[in-house]
Amino acid sequence: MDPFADYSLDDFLENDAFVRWVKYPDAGQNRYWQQVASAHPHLVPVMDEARRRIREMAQFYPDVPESDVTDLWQRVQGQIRPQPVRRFRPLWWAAAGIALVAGWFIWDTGQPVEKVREMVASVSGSATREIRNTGTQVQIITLSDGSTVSLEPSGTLRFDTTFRERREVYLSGDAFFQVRKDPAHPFFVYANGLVTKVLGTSFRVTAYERDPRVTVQVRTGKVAVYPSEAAGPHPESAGLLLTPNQQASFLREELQLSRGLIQDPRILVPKENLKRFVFDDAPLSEIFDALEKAYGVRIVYDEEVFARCRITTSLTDEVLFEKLNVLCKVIGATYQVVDAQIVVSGSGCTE
Amino acid sequence: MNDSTGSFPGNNRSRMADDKQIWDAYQQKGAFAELYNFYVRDLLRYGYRISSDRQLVQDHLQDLFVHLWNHRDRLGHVQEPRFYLYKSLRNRILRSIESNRLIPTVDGVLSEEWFPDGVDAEPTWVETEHRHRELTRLQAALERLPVRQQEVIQLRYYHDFSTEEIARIMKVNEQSARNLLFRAVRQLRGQLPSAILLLLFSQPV
Repeated sequence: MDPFADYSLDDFLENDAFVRWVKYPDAGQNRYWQQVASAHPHLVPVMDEARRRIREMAQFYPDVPESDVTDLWQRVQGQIRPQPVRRFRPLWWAAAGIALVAGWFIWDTGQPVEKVREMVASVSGSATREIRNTGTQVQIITLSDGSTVSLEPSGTLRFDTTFRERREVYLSGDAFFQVRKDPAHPFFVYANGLVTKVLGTSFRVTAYERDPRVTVQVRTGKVAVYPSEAAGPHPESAGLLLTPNQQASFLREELQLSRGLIQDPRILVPKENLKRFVFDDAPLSEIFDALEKAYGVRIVYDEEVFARCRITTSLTDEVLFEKLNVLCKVIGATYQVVDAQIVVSGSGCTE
Repeated sequence: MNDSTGSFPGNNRSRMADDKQIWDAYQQKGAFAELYNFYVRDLLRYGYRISSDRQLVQDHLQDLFVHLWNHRDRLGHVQEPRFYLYKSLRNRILRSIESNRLIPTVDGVLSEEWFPDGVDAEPTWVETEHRHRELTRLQAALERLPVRQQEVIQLRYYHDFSTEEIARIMKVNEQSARNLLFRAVRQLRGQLPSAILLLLFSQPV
């Protein structure tokens, strides 16, 4: 008798052997299910659908921030009673090791003891790798997912041995991130109370221990930032969504998060496309449109006031503000950056 | 330490071997930090699924680990450590909730109304932004299931428990667990069209 003749999608989803094969395939099972498929060609699309669903359902679980793991470890540590020495000798050895590491941190960094304790706790709580740039050059770190981190001197990067599964890193200092795209596994940077969440993009995080401010500057892609104090199932709603050439500043004491433009906004379109941005006696609105597209910014101005301004120019790979300085000089205007927007004001042009 | 902490080791069998190894090291040598690190993420994932009150879940998980520390010598009888930990966490969480709202149904199976449905379903702007890329239609539909159905799906397809084990964890008979799983799978199918509509309407303009 052939058990598979009348199999439906639900039957495959409920078949333990099938589920096990989809999640943990091996050669023997491959052979078995291939035989089933070739004996029942009509089942092939059903099996494909069942495999797709099982894979997706296997990824169905709530986000667990790494900070929850370290916080909980500290809470557990605070509550457990010391045990007789003899029975727990291995732990005592571990403790001695930790004390040694702690000593090294104090000696090496001169950091306040509290910070040291925080680091030690997480070192002992989970298998953490820590990379500290003690040199004078930028150190490039390639993570196991293919993302790279350019760590500036004196910066520290920490991540867990489970990094492959949860893309989470802890930064102290200044680093530029180029994150490999993987929509199913967002990449998180935790830095001095600010969380940066991305899918795949490049950006810089600056978070020095002694600096009251944390900044995140975005080069490409989209980035969500939010205070790590933010709670609930969607902490991002307490934060900002940043697009290229934008930056967020976070004041750690005040828990204040604000949006702005980075200091040197760069052209976002590919260089070869710049040839199209050549203007001959063109209206100002056309040029501003092009700038908005090229730099991903928003320019606010009174179209009527500047209706008669015509300009001959071209776009090159220069910093936005240099370009604006020149343009504004020509039309006798000034500009201000307000909340990541550029506001141009002036009295317009005569013929 | 072990790189396969938590979810997807090479195959099912090696995970069971890891479970045993970690538990034995804790039993015989007091390797408590390793035990914590090996299980804590999966236990949080499970706890956060059955209660949206994350603080409450953390409180009970803290108690559970403190219990493991204090009663190591009394836990020698535990044969299936992973099963034991999930069940203990679930009992602790539900016991504290049950005193507040327990709604038994006629057939003796506890109602799916234990927890408010759809607490997690409210998309924020970032979620909406990511949703059509990050979550497939099926994932969106999963989030709209009653919480107990979400739980059974996660236990079955993520944590790899059999329906028999799920029944013991959820304290129902095996047929009820099986029914719950069937119902979830079937309801998913019913929900898919509306989930697609939801996605269409929630896309940014």
